[in-house]
Amino acid sequence: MAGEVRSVVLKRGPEGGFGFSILGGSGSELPPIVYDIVAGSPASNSGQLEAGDVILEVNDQEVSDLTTKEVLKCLRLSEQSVSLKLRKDDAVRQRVSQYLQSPQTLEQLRPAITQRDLAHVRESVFSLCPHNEFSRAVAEEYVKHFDFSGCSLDVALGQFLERFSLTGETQERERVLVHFSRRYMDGNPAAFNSVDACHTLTCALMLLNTDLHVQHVPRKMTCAEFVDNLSELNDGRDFPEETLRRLYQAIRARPIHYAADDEYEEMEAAPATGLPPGGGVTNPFLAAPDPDKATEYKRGYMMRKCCLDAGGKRTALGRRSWQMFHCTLRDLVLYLHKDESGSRRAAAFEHLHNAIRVHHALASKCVHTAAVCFRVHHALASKCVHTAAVCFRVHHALASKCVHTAAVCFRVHHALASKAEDYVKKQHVFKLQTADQAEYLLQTSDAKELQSWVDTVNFVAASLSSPPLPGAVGSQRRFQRPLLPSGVTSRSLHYQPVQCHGPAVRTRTAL
Amino acid sequence: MGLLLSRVLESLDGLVRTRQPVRILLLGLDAAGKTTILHRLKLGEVVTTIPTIGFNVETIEYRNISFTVWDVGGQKILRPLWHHYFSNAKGLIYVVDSLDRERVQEAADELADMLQHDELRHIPVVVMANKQDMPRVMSPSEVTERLGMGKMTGRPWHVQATSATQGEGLYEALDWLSREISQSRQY
Repeated sequence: MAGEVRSVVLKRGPEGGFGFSILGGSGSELPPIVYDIVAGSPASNSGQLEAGDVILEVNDQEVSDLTTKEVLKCLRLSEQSVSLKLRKDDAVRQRVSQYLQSPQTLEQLRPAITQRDLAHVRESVFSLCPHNEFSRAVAEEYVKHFDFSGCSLDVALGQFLERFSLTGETQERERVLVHFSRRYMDGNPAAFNSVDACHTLTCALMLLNTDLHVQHVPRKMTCAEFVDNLSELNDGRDFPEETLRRLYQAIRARPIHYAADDEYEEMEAAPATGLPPGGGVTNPFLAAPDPDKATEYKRGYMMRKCCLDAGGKRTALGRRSWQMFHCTLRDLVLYLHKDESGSRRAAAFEHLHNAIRVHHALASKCVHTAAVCFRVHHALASKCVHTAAVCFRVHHALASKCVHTAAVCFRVHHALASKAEDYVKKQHVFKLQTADQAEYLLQTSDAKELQSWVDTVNFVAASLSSPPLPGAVGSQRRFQRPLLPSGVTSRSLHYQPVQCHGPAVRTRTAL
Repeated sequence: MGLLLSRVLESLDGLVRTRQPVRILLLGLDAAGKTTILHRLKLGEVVTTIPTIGFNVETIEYRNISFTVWDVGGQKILRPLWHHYFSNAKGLIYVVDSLDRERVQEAADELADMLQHDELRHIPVVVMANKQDMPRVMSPSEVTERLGMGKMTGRPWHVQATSATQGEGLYEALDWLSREISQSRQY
């Protein structure tokens, strides 16, 4: 039964948050709901939010089809206040009552655990509410399904992990293992001096398992090192050496494997396949954008000449000649193909290994000193370029392997295109300066085409580039350039000038 | 000629020595983004087998240095377990959630605690001020201040703005670390 829809506006608290957490969303069995309300926060003070309310809209954006993370992002991106559309839904409330923290829910849950598929319990409880009283209680209930009495620790651990696939970061794994250790001590109270000692040894076994059986770990732990590492950890005393040696041999002979869990494999494989390999020579860790999903802004034939490589180093003499390319500008990447047919083949776009990021590249008068840092981006970029004399370009650079293969691409985030007035040998040439301090000359067919390319590149760089991240701070007190992200910004065009205004004013004052 | 020879020898020497994997510790409170960073650093390598169970460890090849990165998290009582991995550690990556102002003090305490160990006394520390793609985050300079990095002496440190989900800043952080490590090798 669906209840009435109501609108709530919350202002951020002094801590910057709204004071509630959410649960559910696309991919889970629940719609996005309000879950935990922090006492004394804007959410609880308003008195209008209740745990279990279904969230329909955040800032007028439908969220029912979004995942938990995406809804969170909507909330975080909202400025000083957020407007929510909520609905009280008894059916949903009923279903989620087990997730909400009320004292009687655990009693209700107890029979449910025995009947339910254990894997399902893991899924719903451990991942949804990982860190509170309730999940602790559920975990306690869960481990009661195991009986470890009489087992040695390695066998017990093997049994446990056969059923329960342990994932996530070290802290999460460790929290789960605490429950395992407690259960093990229930069955074998005399095995170790305390639960803590048992827990330490359990984690040591996990670590040993990783150390011995993950192929790429260079130097394997020896038995003596294993024993030595655990000295005085049995509540201040040593574990019996005999036991440790036996455990070491057991793990070495028979590695503990993950429960045959398709889910896990999927999860591991997804980041690897979801992003094409090698996001470009300059930065191997950046995801390469998918050219098929990007909007095409302009295409056409141009001649290109490399002047400066990434990092502002002069391009070697042999690689400075003019070459003809069929250029396609898709979002923040300028793809260069040998000919038109090359650019039509989608596969050709995959040659991202020569990618040159043209993001956040700036004005012609670049001053590389630390004196003034200036953030030029988006709509402001083109204006600032003409007014502010001081700006700078960012991005560390590896010597780019440059330009031998058929498909080359530049990233144009934070880039600046300007007519190459000082280059007189050829006509209709414009200069493209990229975020990684590379510089190219591009020759077009006529004056009109030249203006169109310059405008399009500047427009794309200005409207799509993400705001720069502040520069690093280090013990060596030298100037660090801010980071110019290569991704497409999530901010709306309308919001960008507002965002740029502050830094622009600051720069003007500094100048 | 002598100069040339010495240069050739030097680069050969460098080659031989850099083949040796370097152990790096990855540390930070939970939900700071360590796992995402570790995954991001391993991008492009397809996971074919079901991995061995245990804790997170990855090897990253970068600039002729092979980093073995251990995710060493967990409660204080587990700290002694990591001892084995402290020895020979050549660097520390400390991940901080720049959004989480409430727990930054806890993060500062944990870092200070960790760095007291003798084995870690002089190793370079790179702090990744993560989640910078979010609005209203602490800037690297604010993180520096909150972590008390300014008072840290006797070791090189670096606070880098990163966004693990987008892969921004990781290269810069690793680049700094690899430079520090190869520099310390020369002496």
